[in-house]
Amino acid sequence: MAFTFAAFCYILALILTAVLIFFVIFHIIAFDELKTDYKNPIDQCNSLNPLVIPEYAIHMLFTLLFLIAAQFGTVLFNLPLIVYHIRRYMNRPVMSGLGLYDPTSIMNADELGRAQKEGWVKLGFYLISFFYYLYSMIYVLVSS
Amino acid sequence: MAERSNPPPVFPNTNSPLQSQQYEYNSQPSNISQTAQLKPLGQAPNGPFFQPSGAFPSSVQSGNQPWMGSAQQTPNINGFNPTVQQQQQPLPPSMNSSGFPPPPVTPGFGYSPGAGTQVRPQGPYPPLPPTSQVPGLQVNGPASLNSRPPFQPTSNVGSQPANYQVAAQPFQGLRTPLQTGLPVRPMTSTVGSSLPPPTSSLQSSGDNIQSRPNELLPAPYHGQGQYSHQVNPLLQKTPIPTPNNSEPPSERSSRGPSPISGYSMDALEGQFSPGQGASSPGFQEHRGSPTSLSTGHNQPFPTRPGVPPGQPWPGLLQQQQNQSQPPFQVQRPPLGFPPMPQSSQSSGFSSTGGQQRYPMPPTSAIAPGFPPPPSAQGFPPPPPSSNTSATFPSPQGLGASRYPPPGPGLMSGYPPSGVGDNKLSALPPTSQYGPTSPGVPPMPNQGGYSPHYPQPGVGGYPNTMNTVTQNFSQMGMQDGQRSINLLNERQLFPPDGMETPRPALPNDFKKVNCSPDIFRCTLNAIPQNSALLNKARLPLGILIHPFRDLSQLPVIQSSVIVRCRACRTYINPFVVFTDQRRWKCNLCFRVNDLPDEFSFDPVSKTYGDPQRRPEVKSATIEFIAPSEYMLRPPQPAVYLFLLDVSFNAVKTGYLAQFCQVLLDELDKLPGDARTTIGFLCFDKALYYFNLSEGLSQPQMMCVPDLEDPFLPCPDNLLVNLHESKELISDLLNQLPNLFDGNYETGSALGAALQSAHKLMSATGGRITVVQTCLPTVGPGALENRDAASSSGKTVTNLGPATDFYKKLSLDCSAQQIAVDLFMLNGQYADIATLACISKFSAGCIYYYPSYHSVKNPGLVEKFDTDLRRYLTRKIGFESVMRIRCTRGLSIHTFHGNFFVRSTDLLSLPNINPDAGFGMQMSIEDNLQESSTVSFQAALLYTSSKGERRIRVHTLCVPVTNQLSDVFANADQQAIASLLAKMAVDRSLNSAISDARDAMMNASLDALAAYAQQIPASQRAGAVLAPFSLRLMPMLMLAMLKSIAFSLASKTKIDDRVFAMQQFKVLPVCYLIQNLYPHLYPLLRISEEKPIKRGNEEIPSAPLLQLSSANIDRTGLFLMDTGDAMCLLVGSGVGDQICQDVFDKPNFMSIPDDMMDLPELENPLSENIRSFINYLMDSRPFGVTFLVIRDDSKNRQLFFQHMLEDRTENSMSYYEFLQFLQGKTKG
Repeated sequence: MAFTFAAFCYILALILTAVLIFFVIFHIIAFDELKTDYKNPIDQCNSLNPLVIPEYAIHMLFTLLFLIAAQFGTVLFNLPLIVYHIRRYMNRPVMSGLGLYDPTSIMNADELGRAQKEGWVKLGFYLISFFYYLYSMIYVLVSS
Repeated sequence: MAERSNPPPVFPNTNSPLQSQQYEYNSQPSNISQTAQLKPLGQAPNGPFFQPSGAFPSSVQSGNQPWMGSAQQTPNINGFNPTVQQQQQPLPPSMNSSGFPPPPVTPGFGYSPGAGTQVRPQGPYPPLPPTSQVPGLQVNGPASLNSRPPFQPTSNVGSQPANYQVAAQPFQGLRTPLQTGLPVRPMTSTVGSSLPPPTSSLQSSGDNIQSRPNELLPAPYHGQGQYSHQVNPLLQKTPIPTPNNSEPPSERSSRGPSPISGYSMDALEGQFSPGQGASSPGFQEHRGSPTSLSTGHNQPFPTRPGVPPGQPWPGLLQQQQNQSQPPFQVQRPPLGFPPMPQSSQSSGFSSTGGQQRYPMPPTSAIAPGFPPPPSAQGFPPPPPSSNTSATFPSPQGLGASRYPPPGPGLMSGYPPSGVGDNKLSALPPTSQYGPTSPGVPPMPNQGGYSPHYPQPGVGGYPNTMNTVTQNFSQMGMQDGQRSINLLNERQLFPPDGMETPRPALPNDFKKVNCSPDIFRCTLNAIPQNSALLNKARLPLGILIHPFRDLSQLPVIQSSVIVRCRACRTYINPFVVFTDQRRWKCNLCFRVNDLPDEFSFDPVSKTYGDPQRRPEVKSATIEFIAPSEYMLRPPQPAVYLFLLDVSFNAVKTGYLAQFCQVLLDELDKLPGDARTTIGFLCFDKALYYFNLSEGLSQPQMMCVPDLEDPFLPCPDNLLVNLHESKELISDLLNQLPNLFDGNYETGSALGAALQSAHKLMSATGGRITVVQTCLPTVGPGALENRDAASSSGKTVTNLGPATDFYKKLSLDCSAQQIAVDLFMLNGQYADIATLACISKFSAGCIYYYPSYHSVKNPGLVEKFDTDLRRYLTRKIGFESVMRIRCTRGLSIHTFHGNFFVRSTDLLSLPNINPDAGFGMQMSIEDNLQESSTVSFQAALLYTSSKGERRIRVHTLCVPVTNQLSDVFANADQQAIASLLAKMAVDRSLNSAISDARDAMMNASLDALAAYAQQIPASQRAGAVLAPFSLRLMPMLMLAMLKSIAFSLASKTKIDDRVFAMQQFKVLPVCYLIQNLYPHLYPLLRISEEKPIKRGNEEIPSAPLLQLSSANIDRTGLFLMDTGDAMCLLVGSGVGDQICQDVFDKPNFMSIPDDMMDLPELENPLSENIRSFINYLMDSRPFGVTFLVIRDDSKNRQLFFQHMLEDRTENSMSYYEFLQFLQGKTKG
């Protein structure tokens, strides 16, 4: 039993995934508020947009660490989401600032539905990965 | 339902913006000396008219901002009870209610809801004046007893309480601008604490009416139970002449609004919390303001030369005609169904028309008092019972039941007009909606179409009750029978235009349903669930033209606006009254209590039938909103003009024309005494104009600093129109010369817009931008993307290049500023990007490609017409529109120019009468709870007179669970419009080719889905379409060939983007005409079926389909695309015709650039000219007109619209059908 770099990665990823879960819950709540009329789309986009890049960055950061730690299974597990994030950001509406959400198109039922669905799927993904990292961390700690 | 407790940040608080703005102003002058350069006259390129001025006025003069000044009014602590005012009104002692004779007309008609005891005492009835003012008085007169102070002779002004006069002082000038000839009513606003009950002021009603004998405008229907029941149906139909500037006069407009302290206001339409009891003087007086019933909405278009002024445009016209026709003159067989014209191309082919031909027994729902919404079908309203009582037993129990009980007389003497009616009349009277809708049969008239399989009972109307049951079982078959094989049927287009289907509702509802010109649904029978909708493969959506100019609009000023407590729906004709005190919302099905005021009739001092209220009789109605509907005092009309004066702009020479038109129309700008105006010119620098009152000449200030544009002087850049009129005229006279010889080519539109935003943000208003080139300097500078790729296939150039304009537009929207764009560019100006500034601020866009004042005279005339209309048309400020729909439906996507603020709320800083909107709907739940669904659009806006108003449109559509009904009641025009809007979105988000595929698939899917229902044996070798959708493939083909979506590479990107933009905002009728232009054979013009306009009769020509087969060498053909007209002269036209029409000896001598027809005195010329003038006047925008000789090089301008023909790269209509057929098989 030794504290390897891989174990460190898993511990870090565990913490960061918890952060991501909070991000995603905020995302879900925000879109729910939009749908139920509680918030102005301009405000909502202003509060959501700054969170997009940090979320993507955090996710990519610990995937990169896994790559360095040669945890290829875990990297493979995260790769689809990274690809999705990059594609999503490439196809964002024309805007000068950071972020994804454009107040003029966000209220379209399709956009809204997609964002909500994305939130729930990501929440599921992060929850699963949270427990996966927990398991892997223990596994790495125990096995080595 | 506390939907929204937090007011949206979009609206500033009552006073804070003004204060902050002042602060900003005061902080400015120190900068000025460093960066602003005064541009003295001598330095100006050409015009030495500006005085060099050494100093900027640095102090804020609040006098120039009347709304600020007036905000200091003494608050009036009167309660809202309108009777307060009434009691203050000195009553002339000679007036006595007993002095009025009983109403001379319509005894026994209408009012009394059954019980004799409720009949209103006749004493207070006013005599009917013999003039056309009667409708107003009739409708509103007796109704306005206690809550509306009457017009008083101005001599009474002296009796005003002093505190009011102080407040009103700065606005004395208003009395002159009111052009309506109304005596201005003085305000009465002293405090009255001991108020008699409302009813006690009965006596004064007569006085009120008598004391305004000159009133041209009817007053609004007033709350407090002022029903005017006994409207003479004849008189009521008289169109009311409208004075020119026809906003209803309002005392309110003469003064600034007052501070509304103590009110929790929420500008979100309808989401308000009740006020906390404090009242404000503004609304006190407001309550009493005389407003017009109908005239405020009949704003005539600017007339063309040669046409008498004041003529309303034909949309209105038709309605007016309908109304002006005395119903008694209508020759109608009392028994049996009138034979329908054999040719099913007549507009009356639908069951709608057929049923409408039928006189209805008057029920309480159609009791007189308020005119039913005018029928767009051209059918006269049903005659009143006095005329038809011999045939139709008038139901006696006019109480709560909406349908007449099926009396024996009805059965025998009144042959049912259709199955739907039969079902209806067979219903017990208690059932409100009942089983009416799902099986309402579609139009049985099959006229010229070959039925695929004959059905028993087809071809004639079921005339007796015996056939009813038969028809019940046949309904499904009748639908099938109405299918048309498009391959065989070439003549699809009715010669008098496409029909407009209306929802097949029971007659009561149909009569009151919203006009299809305003509000229509793509499916006039809504599928019950989404599975059925998917099966039909048709788009579900609504199209609305909410601020359309109307000739008749009930305006209500009521202390209580009855709305559903749960969903905030306004009470409307389609609600169900469960009993006298309660109503069931037709959108959320909540049962609400009815306020006592709603059913109280002050005349009879009884609680009467709520169904007499105009709210319940008219699906289009306008409320004058109390202060709960305001977030801040209503803003004044503020107009700012941003004029491009760069080299390019000067070269086009538009400035002279623009200034001249504005000068001409300066007095007609909608607004009140507070109207504010300003000018800002820009090339590479910004030029501000100080127009403050005291100056002898306008003063120009040049700000070259674009990165941080600031306002060179804190005030006087926006000035009161009336106070500074001379300076404004001066400026407009000299502006064209001022920039003559300006060689600066850069255009700093972005900076100009930012400054304009800063200038206007305190008040909101309208910014009008005239732009002639690509903005190249300063913030928001754009690159020429056109050079990179000229093909429309590249999606990037259809979308914006930067979000600068979008963001600015959202900022503007938040400050209630709309930006309207006039694009006069000859070269690429990236409309795709610039349009964003208008798109999200609810502005409008005009485009004049290659405008030049000399070289392009056709466009000059169009620009002139458009501009005049633009400047003088009605305008609503700081508005929001909310769309509500029955539970189970939800809005999927919005189309148009606006900012979507929440799932059902559109933020519209300005609303103009030419803006249309579309909404895609989705069905989320089964619609089983009711047999109808309703859509309600409520538009809350501030009129140019500073009144807060709510215009409510309600559309009711039946629900069906039969696929055949869905097809039979589809509205092909609406579907095509909605598909066009969806295709634009698809093009922007994806690619034009995707949009084209989607369009083809739309028609393909719909036809395939329809064919599924037809037995396979019928389907072989045919392209079947239901009668209601027979034009859909044609319209889709037209869309594929339109500028917006065609793949012809030579299309300029700006043209394409503008065409797309137009698809998004045009109301249905103009959009369809744009897609599928009208083609008239002018030599077949005849006076047989004249179009009636006022007293004139205009000869008309039939419509032709756009196929070259319809063009012959010896004819004159007029192609009318909506914004352009081409007159094609066939090469074989006789010399006599050339002489008669063109004043040229023969065909060859007709010039190429003929843009007008000479006024010749022969019948042919006169007919043609009056017809063309009529067509031109019948639209809210200008038209270019060009005569094209058959051998001219311009002939492509005409023949490009021959949509059914084959071209190099597009299919002919027949090929398209074959293509569809092939696809269906595969």
